[in-house]
Amino acid sequence: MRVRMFALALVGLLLITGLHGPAAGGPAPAAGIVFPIVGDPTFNPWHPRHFVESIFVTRVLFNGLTKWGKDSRWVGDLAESWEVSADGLTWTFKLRRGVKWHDGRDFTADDVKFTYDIVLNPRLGATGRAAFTNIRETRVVDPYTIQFVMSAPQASIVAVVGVNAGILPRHAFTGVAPENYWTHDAFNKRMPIGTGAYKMKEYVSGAYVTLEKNPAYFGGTPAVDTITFKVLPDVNAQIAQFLAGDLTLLFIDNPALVRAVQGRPNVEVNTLPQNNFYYLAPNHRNALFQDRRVRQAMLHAFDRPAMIRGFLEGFATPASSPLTPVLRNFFNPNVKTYEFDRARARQLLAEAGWQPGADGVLTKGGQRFRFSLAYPTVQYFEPLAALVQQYLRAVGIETVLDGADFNTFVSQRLLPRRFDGLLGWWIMPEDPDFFNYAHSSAAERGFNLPMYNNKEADELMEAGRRATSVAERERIYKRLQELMADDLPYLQLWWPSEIRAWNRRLKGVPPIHLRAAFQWVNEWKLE
Amino acid sequence: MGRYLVERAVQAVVVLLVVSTLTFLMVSLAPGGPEIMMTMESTPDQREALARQLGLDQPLAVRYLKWIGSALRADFGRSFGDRRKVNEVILERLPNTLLLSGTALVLSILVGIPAGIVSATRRYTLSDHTVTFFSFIGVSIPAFWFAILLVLLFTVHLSWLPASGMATPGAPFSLVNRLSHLVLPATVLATATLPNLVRFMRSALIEELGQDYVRTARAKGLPNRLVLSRHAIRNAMIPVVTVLGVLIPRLVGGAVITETIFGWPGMGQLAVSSTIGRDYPMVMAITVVVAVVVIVSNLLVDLAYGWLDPRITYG
Repeated sequence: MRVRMFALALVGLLLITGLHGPAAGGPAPAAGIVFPIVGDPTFNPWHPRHFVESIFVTRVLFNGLTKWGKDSRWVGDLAESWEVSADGLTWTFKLRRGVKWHDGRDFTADDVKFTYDIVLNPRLGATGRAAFTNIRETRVVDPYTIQFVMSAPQASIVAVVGVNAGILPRHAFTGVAPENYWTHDAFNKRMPIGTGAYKMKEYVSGAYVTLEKNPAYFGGTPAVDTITFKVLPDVNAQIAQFLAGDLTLLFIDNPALVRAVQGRPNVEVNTLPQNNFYYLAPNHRNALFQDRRVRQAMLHAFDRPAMIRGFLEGFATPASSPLTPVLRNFFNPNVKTYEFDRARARQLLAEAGWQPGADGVLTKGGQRFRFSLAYPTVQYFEPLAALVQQYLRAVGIETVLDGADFNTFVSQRLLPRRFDGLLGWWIMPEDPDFFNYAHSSAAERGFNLPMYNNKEADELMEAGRRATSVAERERIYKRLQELMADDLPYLQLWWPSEIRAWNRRLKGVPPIHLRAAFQWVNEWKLE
Repeated sequence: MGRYLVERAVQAVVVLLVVSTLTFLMVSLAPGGPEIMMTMESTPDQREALARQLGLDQPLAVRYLKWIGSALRADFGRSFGDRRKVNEVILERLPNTLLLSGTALVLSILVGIPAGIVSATRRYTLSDHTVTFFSFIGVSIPAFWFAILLVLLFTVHLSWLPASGMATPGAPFSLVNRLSHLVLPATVLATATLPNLVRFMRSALIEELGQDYVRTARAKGLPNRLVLSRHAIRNAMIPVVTVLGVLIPRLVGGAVITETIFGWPGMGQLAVSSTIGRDYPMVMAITVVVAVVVIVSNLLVDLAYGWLDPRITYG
């Protein structure tokens, strides 16, 4: 609420004052790249407190085994090559030789094992652990070869080891007991040691972190001397600083704010598709949503292009399934789509036995079509929920809005699955493996929030993890998208675009989403 | 006097106990849990492991006794977020807040009290109307709007002053640099507190100026300047000091909006993020610090009464 008022105030002020003067979007900082983060970072990528305020810093300090490449496919980072055994149960990664830690020590397979032992230790509760639960153990074959022994095949492991999965130096934790890893402030909060393009220079809590270039970086010496992450929790402060030239680049989360930076000299605003979808998750265990025609009718009830135009300033694409076009060869463009069509929606609901009552709300056997919609009061979910309510009301479905602050939303609605419908989003690794989000085994304890349970979908998601050839995976996941577009485990709303703005002096940022682009930061230049 | 101080100290201990118990109960009973357990991407086994690490698997009463046991030794434990020592974080943040709010307070006093005096002694003149006009603007203007307005004008448009932080990253320490970062947030904060002082000073002084002793002083031929400085102002200060007693704790608690907009690493920002993240140890420590400041400043105000008005004695 406060944030929205700020946003409106800022946009209003910018329009009123018409600040098209020379200073606007003015000089870029001379001191190197400066990027805003929303809170104090934690420098250990596995720390339970490693969230969005930390990932940009740790992606520059550390390397994973793989990373998302400039041509939108997974490429080696600390790993040079990898192969999987015929049964899909053993992955062997060959590591890059000659890589040095920031303190000059050699990087070896022991560091990889040390890192994954932390992840696999259930008592530590490392962040992101859920993605790795199929790994049973890691084995050091020789100093430059590491093996992952799986309890079940998982073809997406190549992607998973490349997302916020930085390798830690074993020697920085000698003498520290595993239960004290998260309180090892000397590393986690003060002096991290990585293999990345930049190394720690100065950290002032609550203010900024400055990293300096690592001349020994195995990917090539960075062109820019320093990169500074400024702690700026307020988005308006970020925009003001960007316009004043104190920030080199920033993310724009709220599309309404794009107008504040667009059209200024020296500012480039660009967008990219990302592997992220917004959804309304119907509770499949609720009798209301068990008929597929009801779910289809609900999706027909939304005018998604109009919502995107009016509400998201055009910065999104209506989604045809949870899997996005970012996945390129795995993406299936030929699936069932749902245009805005209220007549069709009413017809489908009628076929499912729902008839309008006296007040226009649908009834069936004396039951009104009324459900509660849970959502977090972050981003734009509050107005979105109101919009969803109106669209559904127009086809006779009554919605009770149930918004809560994020923490309460997660603990009281999402985790205990206490909702009829839920608005949310998933940002996923760039891999079609949708197992964690829709497989019936993930219904109670995993991320399958709608508690979807479909035998064919389960089999496809299992087969996709077992498959060893790309062609086979493509076939499986294209079929899965067809199935999901028809059966609607999630009512997919849209794929949001990533909106970034940067000073035109900044060059060499690869055309991939910014989190991944930070892993290529050694190629960025300031002209 | 000595007995009075002892009594106040005993009262303070009771107040602190009540405040900390209530806060502990309230934060622990709030829906949700520590942020590190409540992400969309966490799994039940992760949450169970973290709950054990944080001691949340123990009953509330045990947790409270443990907390109070270590709090008595001035150890507030570790943050439920990044696991740093709470004392360390508070000691980092408190000076920043004191610097900002102290500057704002001094600014308010330096400007507010003279303005109130001018306003009272030249009642219904142009200067009085001007002071009143700006006081009303100051008290009505929302901090977030005013802050953004200042940033747009002085940072984006004129490039005179930095928009955020306490110093330029990486630059060697320089007083000018520090002060330039202080100007905008301190102005925003002072704008909110200043009108209170002006209005209280004005009304208190007007009341004193109508008193018999002022007429007597004037009748015996004392110059107006001395009437004011020796008699009226001193007496008029009592309500103003009371207002200050209320303002000081508010400033130490941190100015949430101002700190957030200007990226000032102070207590206000910390309090908000710890509350949102359900960082119980941090919330508790901040509460205790603010409670202590409230108690101490109330005591100082009471002692100041005695200094201002010799009729008030303690003991």
